[in-house]
Amino acid sequence: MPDESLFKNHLGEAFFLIGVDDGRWGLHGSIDDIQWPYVILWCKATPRGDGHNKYYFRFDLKGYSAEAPTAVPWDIAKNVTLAAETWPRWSEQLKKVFNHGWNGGSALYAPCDRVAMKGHTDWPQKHPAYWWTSGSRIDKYLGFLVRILNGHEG
Amino acid sequence: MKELELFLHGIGPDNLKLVRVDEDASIADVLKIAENAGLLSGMSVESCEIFFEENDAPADKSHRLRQLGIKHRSHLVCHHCKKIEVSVFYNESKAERFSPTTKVGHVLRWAIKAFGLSGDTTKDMVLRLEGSNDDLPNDARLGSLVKYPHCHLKLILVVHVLVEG
Repeated sequence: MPDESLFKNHLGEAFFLIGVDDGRWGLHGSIDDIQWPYVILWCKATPRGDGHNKYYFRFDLKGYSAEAPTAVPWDIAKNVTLAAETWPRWSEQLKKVFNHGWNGGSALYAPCDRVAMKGHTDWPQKHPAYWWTSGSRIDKYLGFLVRILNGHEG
Repeated sequence: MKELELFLHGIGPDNLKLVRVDEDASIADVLKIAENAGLLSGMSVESCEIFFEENDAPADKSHRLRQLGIKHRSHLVCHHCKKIEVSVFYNESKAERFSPTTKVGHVLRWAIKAFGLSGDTTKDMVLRLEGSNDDLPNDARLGSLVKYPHCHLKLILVVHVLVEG
């Protein structure tokens, strides 16, 4: 199945819709607004101190789902990457994942992000729940983001 | 006739489907749908019950969805266990019994309180199955983690491992 059709099918499956119904994540705009391979999705956040209660991400889903996604925090008002000073960084885990100084801030340092996955041969053992494999669904990446943005409140 | 969309959870982590069901369908009808959708992992309809939302007791199989107040996009869990005995290890073990519909996140919060833990570190805590490196998703239902014919789970409470280079 072509990558875009597969992704749109996954948006209609229970694994994605549960997160939507629970207010944990969602698609920004309508399915008809998608400009493939770019898709904007949001995740809820429970900030400690300063921070938003929702973050948007622009995903590049080229080759979905045989290839892993890559994503950056997104400023939906300006339609650009979110300014570095407003990336969520209120925990040690977030500082690792949302590291604007790594790779020019072009991706998230996550075991389900295709840019970060390169060269990390130990990550499948260290982070099996979040390591992207062919056939994974977008809720894996979103589940990772919700976990680190919310902790056990996620 | 009004159709409802229901999240139907079966046995096993990937056994989850969104199904459309007439609101006049009985719980027994829903179990048949679950069986046809392959959600019962080969178990018979007769050996399974259906639990919905936070109800501890299984639903009467003769009752209809409308009669039970089951609404659009409700979560129904098909399971062979009436209760699941959960033991959580964190230096010592603590145990409690939960419904198959209980979410992992609820057990995590219970465990943090039961072990008397507090502070920011607890926000990075996760539950894992004993012997596994996989963090359990907070939204997973306990019923999806139990292996037939067992009705118990052994979990460990750990601080989520940081993603490092």
